Amino acid sequence: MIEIKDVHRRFGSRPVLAGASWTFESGTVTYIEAPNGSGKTTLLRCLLGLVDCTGTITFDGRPRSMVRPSIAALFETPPVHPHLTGNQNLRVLSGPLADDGPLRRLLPDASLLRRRVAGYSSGERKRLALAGCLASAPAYVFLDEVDTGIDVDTLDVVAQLIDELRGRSTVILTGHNPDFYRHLADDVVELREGEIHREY
Amino acid sequence: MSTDALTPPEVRPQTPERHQAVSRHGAIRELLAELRYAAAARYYLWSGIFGALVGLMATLSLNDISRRLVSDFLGALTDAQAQGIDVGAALASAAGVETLETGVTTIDNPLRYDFDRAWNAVGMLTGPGYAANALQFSALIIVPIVAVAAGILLSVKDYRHRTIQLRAIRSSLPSIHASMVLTAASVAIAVAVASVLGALVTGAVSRDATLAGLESEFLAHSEATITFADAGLFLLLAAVTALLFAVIGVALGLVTRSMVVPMAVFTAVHLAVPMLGAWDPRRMVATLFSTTQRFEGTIDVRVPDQASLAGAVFWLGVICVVAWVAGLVALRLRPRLGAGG
Repeated sequence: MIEIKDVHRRFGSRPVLAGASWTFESGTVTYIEAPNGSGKTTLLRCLLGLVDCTGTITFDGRPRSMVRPSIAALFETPPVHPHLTGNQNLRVLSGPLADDGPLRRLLPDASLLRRRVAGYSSGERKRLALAGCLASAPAYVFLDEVDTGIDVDTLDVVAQLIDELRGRSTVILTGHNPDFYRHLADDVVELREGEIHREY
Repeated sequence: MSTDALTPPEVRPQTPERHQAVSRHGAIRELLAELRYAAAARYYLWSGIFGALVGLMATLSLNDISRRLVSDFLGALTDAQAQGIDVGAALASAAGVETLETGVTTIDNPLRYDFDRAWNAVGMLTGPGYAANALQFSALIIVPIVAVAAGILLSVKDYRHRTIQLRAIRSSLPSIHASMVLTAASVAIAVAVASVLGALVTGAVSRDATLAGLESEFLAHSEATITFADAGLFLLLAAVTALLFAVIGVALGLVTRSMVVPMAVFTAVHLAVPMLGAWDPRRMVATLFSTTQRFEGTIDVRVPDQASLAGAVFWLGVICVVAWVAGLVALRLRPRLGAGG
């Protein structure tokens, strides 16, 4: 369970998060829906500690610093070292794989992993980053626009992987493809004027 | 879609205890990740090659200098004998060297002076001598430069490729930056170690040929003046130097988080440091080495007019602290932790 209470964040004079509060239940998949510039990514960054914000954020009652290794996240631009091979990226960024299932399913062509990432397409980079993200079998998963740049077949695999996280991980999704995300989510919430509301 | 894609994964159960256990070792994990990166990106490979070349060149240079100094001495000995000088008495008495105010250096016993130089030089033609000679060059000049450059590259790469966001999520920034410093230092130390290995191999191969041309009477009076303990001390000091300059390199990378600017600043600073006189960081490092080295004479790269040892340590420490604080301030003002939006 991820609980946030009265989270505030401003960019200059513009409040992006204005007292956002919500409880993301354990083992559920939640889709945060909102238009561009409404603060979805900022909310995720606050939850992950990548930006400063005020308010209270707990993970199963504990502060984020206590559960860091259990957290995995992927933003729109996949973080990879382009001059290393796919295998090297996984070793450097993910360490020993606790779960190689996502890797086998997202990148079934093993020869791709032996190539430098600089030669990957943007979709292949995203698949690699997602495989690395899920390889540690995380308890808390944050995926920002995970569908962007991924082909239809792979999107099915991504959907399946997210579906399999249900029950064992708390998953928060953001993106601009409601058909894809709503189908996956147990809960759909809306970020509006800096606050989180349940969408009916 | 392949059938593999439909195979459900086998997932190990997640428990808070397991995650807490992993968390306790977060700093070690980050260090291992950084070391893995440096290995994958061939930092150690290039350090090894570069260091081995340094060792090769240092050893060949030492061989040449030793042969030349012995040759000079034997030539002076022949001249002295031809002039009827009492060679035995000259070699038995010490040589006095005095530098006058005019800058002219006078030597009251040139034959003994040449003998001492040649004796010291030949004494260096041993395993420890080759190692110490290579370390004098690599540790004083190469290690600081490599440590700074590696520190910059390692700290910049995570911000440039946005991989810092993955690391900042799973670990604290201090542990990440510490891993960068230690890895950059290890890359610089790898150069020093490789230079020793290169020097030892080159020395073993070339030593006999170098000694073959020397008079056996002279060699009978020469003995090793350098031990592996001396070389080990140099390596230890190279490690300290690597660590200090790695801190500066990582901090420089954190200040800008781009490669061009810190490299330009580093180059400018490197060109400007001679103007700093006694405040020259290179001079401070030289002081660390010269204060602790036991041998003097033939192969001497000590910088004249050095700062005191305490002053060198203090000011290098101050430079590290100032650079680190600047890096932290830059991070605070502009975190750039990679996430878009």
